[in-house]
Amino acid sequence: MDIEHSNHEQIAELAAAYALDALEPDEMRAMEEHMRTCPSCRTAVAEMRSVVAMLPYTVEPVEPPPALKQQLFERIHAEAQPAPVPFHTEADPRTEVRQRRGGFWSSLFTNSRLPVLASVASLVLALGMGWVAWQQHNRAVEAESQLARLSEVHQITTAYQTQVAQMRHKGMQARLYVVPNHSEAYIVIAGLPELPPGRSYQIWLKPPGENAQPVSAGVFDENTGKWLLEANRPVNSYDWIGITVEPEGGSPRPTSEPLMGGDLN
Amino acid sequence: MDGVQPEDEELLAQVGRGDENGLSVLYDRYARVVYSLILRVVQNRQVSEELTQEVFLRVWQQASTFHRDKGRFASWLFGIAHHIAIDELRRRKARPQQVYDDPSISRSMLDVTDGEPEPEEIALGGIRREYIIEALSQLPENQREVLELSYFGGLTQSQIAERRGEPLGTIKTRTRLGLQRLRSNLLALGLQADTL
Repeated sequence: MDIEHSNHEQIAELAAAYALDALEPDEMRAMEEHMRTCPSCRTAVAEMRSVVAMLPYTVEPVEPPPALKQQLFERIHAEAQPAPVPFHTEADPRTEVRQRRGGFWSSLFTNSRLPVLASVASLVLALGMGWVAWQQHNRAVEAESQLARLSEVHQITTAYQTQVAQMRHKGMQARLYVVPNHSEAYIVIAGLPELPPGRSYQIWLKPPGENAQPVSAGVFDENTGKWLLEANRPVNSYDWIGITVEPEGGSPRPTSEPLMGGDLN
Repeated sequence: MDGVQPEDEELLAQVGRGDENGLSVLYDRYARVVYSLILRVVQNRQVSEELTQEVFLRVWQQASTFHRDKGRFASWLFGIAHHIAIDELRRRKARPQQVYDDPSISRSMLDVTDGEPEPEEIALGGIRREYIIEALSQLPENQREVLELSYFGGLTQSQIAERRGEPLGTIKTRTRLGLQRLRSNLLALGLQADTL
């Protein structure tokens, strides 16, 4: 839809509704788009927002629990852990295993995990480039892909429409950041039980429909961390997300009860 | 405002450089208003605690994206808090089987508690909560109602029009007039224009 206005009152009406989050979602998006090129609306919205910002003070104050602040900083520290390892997003575990072999081969050349790079072509390239150049090349590629991942994470966590699904069970926690109609999501997981040898964690997304089978959204081995998750369709179009323990490298279908799970819609 | 205290925007700039102390001060200053706002909207303490954390986590992550031309820090912060609370409310309304209502939580916009200025009031330039409540109570009932239904009730203007059985245009006008009049009431009660 297009936002149109021909006089000051219309601008003020749009700005008032926008500042109160009282437009329909499609109008909200149209207004955001419109404001990029309309200084009058930007000014009007800023003015209305400052009045709206007084409304929270009219609510009877309730103290948040004192422990909340400490929990906040614990989360900040948890989310500032070392670089995220990208999810392997293939639903087919054979692909997964192949990628893991790739990871092994690439580990001969670098300390970083670059499973996708370690194809035969990459190996040939490595031989041609020479040892040092190959290492430099890998570091540059890793830095670039890390930057791209961080940029994607930033976009997912800061979008206006971002929704957060929270899962908590027996000391395990996960938060999934989903942008509606996007097939990428960001997940932060903490406190999964230690894996027995020869096992991996696997994330599942269940499509809607009673008989729909869960599809793999990734396999990983760390019990705490953060990942960029990529699905074959918008993540919010799935019904459910869950994490199971599976044979190393993942399974085509879940073979155990979920450690935890949560609804997505 | 006490001149010794750093401005919100100055603290936010520190947060943008990764300074946790800046976030800690902003948290102490605003956590109560943020928590109370979210609780008022979602009516559930546990959910409000999680969402309050989420708000300050986003402040931590997004501090460097704040620009003063968007308004004051508090407007920005409450905007984030409100989006998150309303999202939760609308999502929940799509799943009517889940009920969080907590009867002990106040629903009135006009409850007043006397007392010493609180941290967020000091941050607000010393204005007292009572003045803001007074400014709101001076609005015509139908204007106050649309502000309450949209801001705290999470209803869109179309939903309010439908619920009230009135034309959408009437609701739009009422919303605009309500905010414009609230602004002039606040100024008349002594709130500084640069606070708004």
